[in-house]
This record gives sequence, structure tokens and C-alpha cells, in this order.
Amino acid sequence: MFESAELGHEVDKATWKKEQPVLREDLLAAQFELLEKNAFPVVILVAGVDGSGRGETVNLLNAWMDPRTIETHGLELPSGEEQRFPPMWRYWRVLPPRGKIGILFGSWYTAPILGRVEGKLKSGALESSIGEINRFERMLADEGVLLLKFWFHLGPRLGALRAVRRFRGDLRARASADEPWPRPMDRRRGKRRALSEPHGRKGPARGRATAAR
Amino acid sequence: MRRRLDSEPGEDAPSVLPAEPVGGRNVIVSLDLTQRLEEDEYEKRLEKLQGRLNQLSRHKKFKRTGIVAVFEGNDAAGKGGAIRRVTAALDARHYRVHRVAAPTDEEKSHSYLWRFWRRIPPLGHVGIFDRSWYGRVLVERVEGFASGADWNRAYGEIRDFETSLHDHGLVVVKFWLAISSEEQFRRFKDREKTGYKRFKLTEEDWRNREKWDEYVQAISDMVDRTSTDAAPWTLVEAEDKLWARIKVLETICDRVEERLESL
Repeated sequence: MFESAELGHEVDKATWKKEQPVLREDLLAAQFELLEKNAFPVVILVAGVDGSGRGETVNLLNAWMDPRTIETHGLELPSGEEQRFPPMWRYWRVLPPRGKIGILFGSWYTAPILGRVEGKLKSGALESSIGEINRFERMLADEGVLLLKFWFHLGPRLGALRAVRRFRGDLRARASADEPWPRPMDRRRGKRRALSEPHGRKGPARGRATAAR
Repeated sequence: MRRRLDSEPGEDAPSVLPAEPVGGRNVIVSLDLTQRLEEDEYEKRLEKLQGRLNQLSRHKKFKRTGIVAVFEGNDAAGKGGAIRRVTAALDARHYRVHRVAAPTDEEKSHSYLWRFWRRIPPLGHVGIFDRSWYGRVLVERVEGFASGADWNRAYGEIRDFETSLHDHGLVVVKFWLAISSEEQFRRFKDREKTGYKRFKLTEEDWRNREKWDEYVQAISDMVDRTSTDAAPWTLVEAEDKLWARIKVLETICDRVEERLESL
């Protein structure tokens, strides 16, 4: 299922150095035009396995682009207050207006995925959740939203390695614009893994706070 | 982002709905608007129903449910008056009335339903909408403020929206308050004459009367396409204001009672 993401994709330092400034300029230009024209909302869903660099990447985006029109939200388990409202309510709250960008850690996918992995959701219920999600996203698209969804993947071996290193506090969790990124991935293919996004922990990668609280 | 910014907007889609009532009949023209209540009968029933609603709202299981009440209807049909008789039965800390009118700039820069999601009540509370998300398939459809593509997809989106409210535990009640064109004319004339009611009447109200038949079609389509088990429409014969208020209160009490019994 994740085979094409476990091929050992890699970017060498020289390419990185060359492409980075062009990318940054393009991103800023697009963001500026988006704001000027009040064109459409941009919603970015960020999901993936632990240690895959979601937090670092989003911090990088915020450093490269103008953070004034980007709002980043960590939508972990719903709080007691949030549970009084229908589940979709807290996602609707954080949807950005036209011209702005919203980045969501955790989304309307999280509960159905976890429910299925933990066995609380039968496959029929998962199907119907996916149907609802598809209709919801269809509506966002019809309303003009640009919806981008990213799954950050690590093969099982590298994932385990990073988890251990993070636990021991070895891994540098800070990502700044000048550090080499991304790290080369493990070339060995792991076994097929079940879909998972650990949710019982306190949040994404340690280091600089990623969620706007 | 670059691709979207550089692309051209698409064409509008044609409507898929019939433009006229089939066989000249629809749920609106078939209403019996002669229903009425005598004043003393009304007073008696009003008191009982308001008492009943009050009790229900204070039931210990009410905090596991809540009410979303939508009031739509012709101009001058008596939505405001019906709403007041409902809120009179409730604790002010636990209800909110939302008057929905033309969108603000902020609301226009978000998806259509965003402005309504913000106002959904939490469990244990009551949210009353004086006009609502149905604006898209009523005034926006008839006056052309929304494109054909937009109001045609709205029916399905509204069904999904109301289903998610229902699935969370909320009781969704929807009222269409119907009066005849003649009665509306009489009420408009009255408002013009009465000093403190004159502000309730605008140029727009008079203009809307010219499109009466188109509105009838839009309302009938709305009821057909958005009345579901989770959120059925209640058509209220509002020619007699007293009859209408009793019907509204009774419906709310029945639906809430049904929900509480199932909890």
C-alpha cells in the first residue's frame, strides 16, 4: 500500500541548495497573489506516522512563507467542551476564509481511521464515514476551497529507529531554514503496516511548538 | 496554488428541477389555510404547551440532546411572533435566537454553511434560526444571487448537514409558515399604517411579491428535497396566527418528548 513511498526517495544537498531559493520565492509569490486577489481558501491537511517530520515541515513552511496569513491548528482529541458539539463543528471553526491558508494537524479523517484500527468501527461504518468525508470535501471544492492532503510516511524500520531515538532524546527536533532537510530515508522496504496515527500521545514532534493553541 | 490562481472560472450548470408544479399541485398550494383557533381556546392551549416545553427543557436527560429550530416562511407570516411564544417557555441562558439576513463580508469569504456551523447550539441548549441555510434554495435561487450550480447542490449539502446534527443527538425541527398572497397584502398594508410596525416593511418585501409563483415552486422543491426522517419539514398554516403558534409549540414538544423517551 505504501510501496511507492518506501522507495528510498532522496534529495542530495546540492540539489536542495539549488532548488530551495526558487521554491521559496514561488511560494511567497503564490501566497501574496492569493491574498491580494482574495482568491480562495487553502486548506492543508497534514497527517502521517510518528517521526515523519510533519511538525518540522510545517514549521519550515511558516518560516518560508508569511506566517500572518497562515493559521496552524493541532486538532487532537476533542476537549470536553468540543464534545458538546457535533464532531465536524471543530473543523468548521478552523476553516480559513478566502485568501488565507489553514494547516490542520489531525482532521476529519482521524476519528474514522483510529476507530477502524482500534476495532471500534466495522468496515461498513468506515465505508459510510468515507462517503460522508467525500461529500464534505466535494462541497468544500464546490465552494472554491483548494484542499491539499499530505500523508507523511516512513517505512517501518526507519519509523522504529526514529521512535527509539526520540525517546532517548537524541534526535534533533528543531528544524530551521538552514539545516539540511529532508533526511535520507531507509532504503530497505519494511513489511506492510496497518494504517496508524498514534493519537494517545501529547502531539506532534517535540521541539518547537507546532500547533497554534 | 499556482495552478488554481492561473485557471479560468468554469461555466454555470443548468438546473435539473422542473420549473412548474406537476399537474398544478404541490404541497404549498394544497395547504388548508382556513384553519383557525378561537382566542380563549388559544390561551388555554398556549399555557399548557409552554408549561410542557418548559418541563421538557429542564428534564434531566435534556442535556444529552438539544434543539435546532428553523423558522422559514413568507414575509409577514408571523415567524417572529411564533418564535417569541417558544422562547417564553425557555430559560434565557439556554437558548439563542439567530436572525439570518444578508451575509457579512466575513461570512461571504467562508463556505456557505460556515456561518451556520458557528451558531449550532451545544448539547443541552436550543438554537433558533429566524431564516436559515435555506436562503440558498429560496431567495438566492429566485433572485439569482446564487448560481444554478450552487443552489442545485445545496439540497444534498443541507441534508448531510442536518443529518450530522441529528446523529449528534440534536432534535432538528423545521417550520414553513405559509400565508396566502391576499393575506400577505393585507398585513403589508397594515404595517404601512401602523407607526411602530412601519420599520418592518421594506421595498424588498413589495418586490418579492412579484415573484410569488417562483417562490412557491422553490418552497415546494425545498420541502420535497430536504424533508428527511432525521429532519422533517412541518408546514404550518399561518393564515391564523393563533393556530400557527399552537402548531409550532405542539410540534416541538412532541419531537422533544419522542427524543427524550428514546434516550
